[in-house]
Amino acid sequence: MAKVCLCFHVHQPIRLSRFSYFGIGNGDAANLDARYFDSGMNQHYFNKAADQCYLPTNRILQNLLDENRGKFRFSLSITGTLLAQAQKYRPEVVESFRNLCATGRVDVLDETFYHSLSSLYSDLSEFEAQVRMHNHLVRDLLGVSPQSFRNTEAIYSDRIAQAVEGLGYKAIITEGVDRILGWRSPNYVYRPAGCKDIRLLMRNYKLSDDVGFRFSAKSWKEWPLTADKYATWLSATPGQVINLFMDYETFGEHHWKDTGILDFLSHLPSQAHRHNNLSFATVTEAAASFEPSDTLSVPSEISWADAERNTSTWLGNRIQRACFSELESLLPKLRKANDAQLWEAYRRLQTSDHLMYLSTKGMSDREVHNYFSPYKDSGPYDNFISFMNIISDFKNQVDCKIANAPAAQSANAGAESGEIEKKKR
Amino acid sequence: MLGWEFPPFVSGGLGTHCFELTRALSALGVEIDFFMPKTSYEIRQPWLNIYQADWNLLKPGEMQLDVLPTTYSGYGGASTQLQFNAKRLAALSKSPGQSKSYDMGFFEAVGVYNHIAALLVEKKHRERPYDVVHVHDWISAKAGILVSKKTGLPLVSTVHSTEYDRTADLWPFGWILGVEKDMVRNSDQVITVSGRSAKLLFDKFGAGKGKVNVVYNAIDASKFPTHKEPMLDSNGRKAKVVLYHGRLSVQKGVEFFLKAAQKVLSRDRSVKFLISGKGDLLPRLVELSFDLGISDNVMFLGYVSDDQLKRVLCTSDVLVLPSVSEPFGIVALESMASGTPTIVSKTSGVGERVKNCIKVDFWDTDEMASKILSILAYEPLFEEMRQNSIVEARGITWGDVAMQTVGVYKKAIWTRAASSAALAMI
Repeated sequence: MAKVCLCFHVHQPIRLSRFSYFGIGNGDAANLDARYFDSGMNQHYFNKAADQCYLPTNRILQNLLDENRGKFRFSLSITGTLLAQAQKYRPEVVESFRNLCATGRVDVLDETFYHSLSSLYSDLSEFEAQVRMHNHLVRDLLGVSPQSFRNTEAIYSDRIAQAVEGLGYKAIITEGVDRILGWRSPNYVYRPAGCKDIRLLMRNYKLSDDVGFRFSAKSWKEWPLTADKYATWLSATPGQVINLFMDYETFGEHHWKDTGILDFLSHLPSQAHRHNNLSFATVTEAAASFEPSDTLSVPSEISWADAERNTSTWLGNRIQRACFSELESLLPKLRKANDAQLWEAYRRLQTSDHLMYLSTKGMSDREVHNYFSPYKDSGPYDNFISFMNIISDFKNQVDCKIANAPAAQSANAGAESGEIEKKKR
Repeated sequence: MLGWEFPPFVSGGLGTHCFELTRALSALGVEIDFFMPKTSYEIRQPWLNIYQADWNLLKPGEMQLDVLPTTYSGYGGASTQLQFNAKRLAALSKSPGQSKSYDMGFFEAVGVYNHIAALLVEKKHRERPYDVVHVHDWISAKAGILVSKKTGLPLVSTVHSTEYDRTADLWPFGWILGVEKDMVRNSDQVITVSGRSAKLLFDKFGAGKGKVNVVYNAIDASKFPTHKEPMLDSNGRKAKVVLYHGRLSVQKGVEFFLKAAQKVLSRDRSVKFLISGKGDLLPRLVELSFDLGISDNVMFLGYVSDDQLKRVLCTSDVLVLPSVSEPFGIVALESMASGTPTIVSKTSGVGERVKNCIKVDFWDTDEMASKILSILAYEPLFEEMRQNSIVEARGITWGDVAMQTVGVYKKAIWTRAASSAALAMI
């Protein structure tokens, strides 16, 4: 009996404004939200996604949960930046996610609030802070307490698994990367190297991408893909867990409604239940159902992105690495300045999407990146200039704050804030 | 093929284009007779036959002097480059059959060249038949049209630029526009060097979509050194250098470059701006650099040869092509080949071809200045653009251009054959 483990990843970044070199100021800006982030653009994209995907797909999932009386279960990983924007622009989206969770059959995974790359910093305390922020938000808004973890874009390594175990999570998910699995199948539960209890689920990229990428491709020999056919494939898949992890925007945004993607989803549970070797499980349930079949060691980071399945999507070139290390190196200053508004802006700047828009990879990947980039008319260099100008301006804001705080007080405040930060976690 | 110039005898990009194109075509097995105006030099290359249109190549009976065009002398925007060409053509006036007092104006020179070239091509065609006649720009169009009409040979024309581009659409010269329209109408296939140029042919010349082909220019990147030779200021520190290279004319948007320079200098007083090239706008630009208060930081280099350009690029940190209207803009490829980060206006055709440059609106001098400052300020950006530019330029080869050009030749031959077959059936 194989568990079908669906996990939908729901995310929207808080997009940046275009920022000129001449905009770099000396640090006396009052409102950093308006200065760095394009609320008009963010609202536009959020509304679009809410109307095309979140609301209609949530409705379908709610019906499926109600109709299938406990037999249909799945997981969600929802970023903090998405929930924060939902609260601001479309509270009914938060409400509908909350209703899904209220059935008790939906598992929400934790991650970094800001969909950041903080798991790659040499000091992991910022990563841990962002995970705790996410945990608080999910408990407050959705009324559930996450037990499992999914890092930004499934970025994973032994080091990250160990840190996540240290935070008390029972399971972590990542990509079923061939070079890691070797002869092994992604359809089993694994144990991360150097960990005691936490379990690892690996994405079945073939079956996940059949839905996520290929569903509407008319040149694909399996097109059109029906729920019936797909359930037959699932049933014929050997192993214990079939991990189908995909972007939530697959339903209605990446594939438009008229491709039949929403009908596919509506019929998937009933078609799967026609096979008596299939049942649905959340990530937490699936991980707990089976003993780990082997230990997997992942010394350097993998992810689910691009053909390389590593971090090159965000850190593949000089301009990406420059922004990343500028941001990482600002951390001590942020602690010193200890200002709520600076922290919030700082963390929003860490969202990985900003780095993805700077990718200069070859054509096939570039197309994917361009598809997601909100800055249609501009390339990676323009995006870098705007982003680096913002970072430069932000540094000035931080320096200004530190300089303006009376020395003694600032030292005290720094110590206190450190404590508050710790308590928050 | 009919052109206007050929290395080492060049004043603009047309000569280099014909040099590289014919060499690459010949590598594909295309045999080329190349016709150009008479110069006082002998020009030879192993991959083609070059004929300099000269009365001496024709017998007295073949000259047909009565069809010479009437005199045009009122070309208001005539650039020094064209005048320079005219001087060169004066050699023609010493040919037999012409009185000594014949004052050869530029347009007459073009007319005479086209006249002689047409007769020569026809004569050569009778000796050994051609498959296609290929002309470049209006300047050799008349001859191509004439030959094509007389012999029935398919005509291919390359539009490197139009009168609308050269005058920034401000005072297009009607007679040249007429020749250009004539050329497009009479060509079996037309080649443009960018999509925006093709669009102009559709919109303004009413060209049929079936006969316009976009074939972008290319670059022999191996000719460009990629190292950097820092220019040192008076204190021995490396100066940051921003380069403009091209004709100094309205079309090229050099004034916007200077206005952006002023804005850059408002943030960073140490930046140097080089303006290389000559043109009728020079006095106005010098004046403008004084008016803007930036004359200390702007250097006018005057005419810079191809070889000198390679060295100037080595000392430059950014090249800007701010053209108001640019069919292609090959200097951007040269800059990229040399590993110099490149900014081009959105109204430049080259921007359609390359990915690793930054595109701005020519009028948005704030944005232009912001991008210049950013490239100068952020080392990782400079280095990333530099490396990617070099790699991309290496992939933009004349071999590809020749392959596409042969495709256009074939199309021209087929359409001509198909239409004569259709005619025969009637």
